[in-house]
Amino acid sequence: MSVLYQDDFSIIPTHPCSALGAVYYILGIKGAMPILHGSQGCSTFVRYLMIRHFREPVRAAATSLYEDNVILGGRDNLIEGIKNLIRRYNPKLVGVINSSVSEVIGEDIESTLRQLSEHLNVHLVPITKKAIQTNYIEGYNTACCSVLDHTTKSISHKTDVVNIIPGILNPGDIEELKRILTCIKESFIFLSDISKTMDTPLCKSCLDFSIQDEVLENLKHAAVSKATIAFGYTNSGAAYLEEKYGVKNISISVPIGIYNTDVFIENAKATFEVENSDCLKRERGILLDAMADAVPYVMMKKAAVIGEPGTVEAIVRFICEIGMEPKVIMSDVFVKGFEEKIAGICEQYGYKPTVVANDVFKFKHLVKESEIDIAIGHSYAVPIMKKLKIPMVRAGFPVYDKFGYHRWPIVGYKGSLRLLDMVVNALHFRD
Amino acid sequence: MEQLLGEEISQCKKLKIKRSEKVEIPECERKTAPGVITERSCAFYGARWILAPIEDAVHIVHGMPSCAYYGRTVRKKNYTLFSTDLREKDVIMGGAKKLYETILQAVNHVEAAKAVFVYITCVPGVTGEDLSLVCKKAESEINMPVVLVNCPGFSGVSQAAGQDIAIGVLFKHFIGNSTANESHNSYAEKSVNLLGEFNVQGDLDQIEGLLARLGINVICAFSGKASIDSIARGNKAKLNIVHCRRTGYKLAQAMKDKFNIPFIKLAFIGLNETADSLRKLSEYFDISRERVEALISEEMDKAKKEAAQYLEILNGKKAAVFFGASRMGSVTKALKEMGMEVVMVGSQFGCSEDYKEAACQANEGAVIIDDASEKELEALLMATEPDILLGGMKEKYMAHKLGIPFMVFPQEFSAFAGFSGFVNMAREAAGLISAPVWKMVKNRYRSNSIDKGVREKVRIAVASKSGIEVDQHFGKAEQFMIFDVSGDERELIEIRKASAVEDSCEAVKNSLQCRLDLIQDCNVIVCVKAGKCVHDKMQSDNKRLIEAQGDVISVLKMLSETAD
Repeated sequence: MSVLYQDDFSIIPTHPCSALGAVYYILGIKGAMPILHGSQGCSTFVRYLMIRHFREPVRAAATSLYEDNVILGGRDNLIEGIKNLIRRYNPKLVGVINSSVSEVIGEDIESTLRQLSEHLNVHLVPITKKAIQTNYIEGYNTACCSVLDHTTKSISHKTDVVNIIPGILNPGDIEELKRILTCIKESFIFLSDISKTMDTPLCKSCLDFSIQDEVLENLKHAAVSKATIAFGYTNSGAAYLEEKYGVKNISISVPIGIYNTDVFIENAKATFEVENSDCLKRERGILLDAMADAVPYVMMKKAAVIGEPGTVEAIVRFICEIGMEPKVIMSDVFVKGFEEKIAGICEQYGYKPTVVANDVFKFKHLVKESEIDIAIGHSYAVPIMKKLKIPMVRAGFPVYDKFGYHRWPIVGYKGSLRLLDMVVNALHFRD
Repeated sequence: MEQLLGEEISQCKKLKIKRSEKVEIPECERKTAPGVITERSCAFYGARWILAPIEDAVHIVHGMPSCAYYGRTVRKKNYTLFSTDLREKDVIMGGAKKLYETILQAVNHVEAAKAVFVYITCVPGVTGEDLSLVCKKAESEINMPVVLVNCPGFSGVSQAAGQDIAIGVLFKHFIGNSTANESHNSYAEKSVNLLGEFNVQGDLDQIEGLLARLGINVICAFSGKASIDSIARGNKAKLNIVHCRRTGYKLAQAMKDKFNIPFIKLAFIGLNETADSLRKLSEYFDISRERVEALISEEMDKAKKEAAQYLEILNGKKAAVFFGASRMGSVTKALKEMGMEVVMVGSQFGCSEDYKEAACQANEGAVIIDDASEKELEALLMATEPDILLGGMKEKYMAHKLGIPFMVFPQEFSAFAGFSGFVNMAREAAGLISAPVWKMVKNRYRSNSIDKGVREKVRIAVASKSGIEVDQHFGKAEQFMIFDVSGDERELIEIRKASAVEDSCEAVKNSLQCRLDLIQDCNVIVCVKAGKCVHDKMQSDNKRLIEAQGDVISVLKMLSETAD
């Protein structure tokens, strides 16, 4: 195993900031809006990336800190900003996210919000974990915990509902998760549902932020649920609910591939106390059928995977399952335990991949050295693969150089089947 | 249009309505209000906008790694961008050493690197570490210039600040530093620089092609086609052509002062504009009139012929324009040339000359707005009801949800500059406007107004100071916007100022009375709040009083929906 994973610094990082993760979570709640306490660029860069990925209007406000605010403090800007936002959009919940600049100048967002919320009839949620040190995974986690902390109340009775925290998944993935869960038992709530807000029909009411839907309502009842299913590394919300309210924490891998989807479905069945459900058996069989068919095309091929750590981990297992060798693995950001988990998965299949984090530069060199046959990951890897003439399958976030990838799943048996199709086509059936 | 948002919105500084008597310019380069979804960006973004295309330089972001992550993409193109990947301890203990190491490492990975740009972003901008010594040290180590681009996101009011900073860096450190042989004289006679041209989808090739046919060569295009060497040779040009005023004008002025190079503002968007530009150039360089006219008439005829079928579709259609900055003037001209009406012109950070140019071209009653936020754009689009909106990626999907076709700038498919660029632009606009999908969108703003004139007209008075939002109490209202509404049709009749009658009112009670008198012909009054006696009075007069907040148009829409 490599020593590359933990390194001093990287000269070409892929490190989406914590604000992106927080915005990602907040956008999954209809009627909620994020506001970034920082320079205008903080919100515009995040918006720009998300707009290109989701192809939807993305609404994240900024408090527009200028030089004088940086010197004299941005409290007035924050107060005026929140008031302006509420006056214009009338949201039900406002997530106030700190940025690196507001952290360095030492803005006290919590106390400002406490004072403000006395006068305003809106949930004001401070999302203020260290902005400098953290990345989008932690940003998502922080946003999730902060919102839950703000909305949930302790109630003794329990319902048989299951909470789902999807993490950095696409709208298509969430639709697929819902379909699978509906097959088992229709008794679940999503604590952030980006499929409702970031994949909307062409109609004007999609721009109205004063409409809330059940997600915000659900958040209030998250504490009385039976269990919380969270995927990958975006699972702090589940841990929070367990610790505070005793809601069972089921943290599993993103359901990509046979094993991971099996685990997801079994966990769901066990929690719902559903004995037998055949509806997904056929899908599983079709995936196995396709995997058998694909063997000659994919076997012994070497793959590189790049992306969000949770998704990457699941894709690596799926790659092993279909008989390809994961060779170079890169997580966008450094997360604890990622390297060991990848090593554990690959060991079962007898592979020893090199693992890097947050370093495109090293990733590129490793890909070049290892004679990779195919790469799976997000659009930031595309220029490298084009240069090295390696076929590339886009998956995860962000994909901005292909049309409509956010709409289709890679989770569940059907999603995995789609991923497999894309891999085989990229390897052998290119035009 | 001039009726909808009012022609006397004296309080709203950034929004003006075009009237024939005099062209009013919105107050620009102001701060953005906090809490809006701004279409502007930060200084770092602006600096990247200018410097990213310089490929034989090493670009290093000194700051948070995420700034490098986002800053890699400029005008939808990906560039290599290094970062010092600052962590918490570097913020506390100082990141100078890391910067030094990064410079030494990064230089090895860019072949033919001739210079290093170090972007200073927010966090080191706040901590204020002195990095010039590190740059000096690195400079002597790697033997090429290492320059600081001091563009923390909070400087200035928009990305324009960063553009100025980047241009300043180029001017101070590179232009005129050519070490190449001075006798090398191939660009002696007719050579120019293009300032503020970014070569989107081959725009520059179009312009260069036209200039080449007149025997004019381009030394350096700032910065669509700029290398460290060509920038250094920039001072040898005989003339500077300012293509984008925002990014080019200051540099042109500075080069005039230092190198004595004259400059002219030209544009190569639109047929007439391109032809005019070529004529001006040939005059300057003493190129024979026949040669230019021959070129112009050949290209012009060809373009007109090709564009004819598209212009037929575009004729009389309404367009709205919302850009970064100065293209809005030339694009507005081109749209007019296509036979379209321009009902709204706006930009994120234009200067007053930009607005003047655009305002002259726009139609009577057009809205001219600086730094519109997303919500304001939405309101303005609803009010102006254009058939197409031209703007940046960030506004695209918002326009779509409103049922308005959208044309993206920087464009994605073909060059828009020069004669053939005009055809491309007309083709794209015509295709977008006439797409069948827009006929299938049910709730498009105008599809509801089927039974025109059948419904009864209702006269509504709205207490609004800004002209955009319902923002005044009845008793203190300074002005009322008077609308005639029938169904979904709204027409702003006039704006009535309370001050006009207030002088004659003595007591407070009378001031209420005189307001009631002022709007006595209205059946409905909309204001933020009103006192009990006003409520009573309205009831006794069998009129409606509605207390509401929000933007005027939404409130009126809501009213007409609930009226049925």
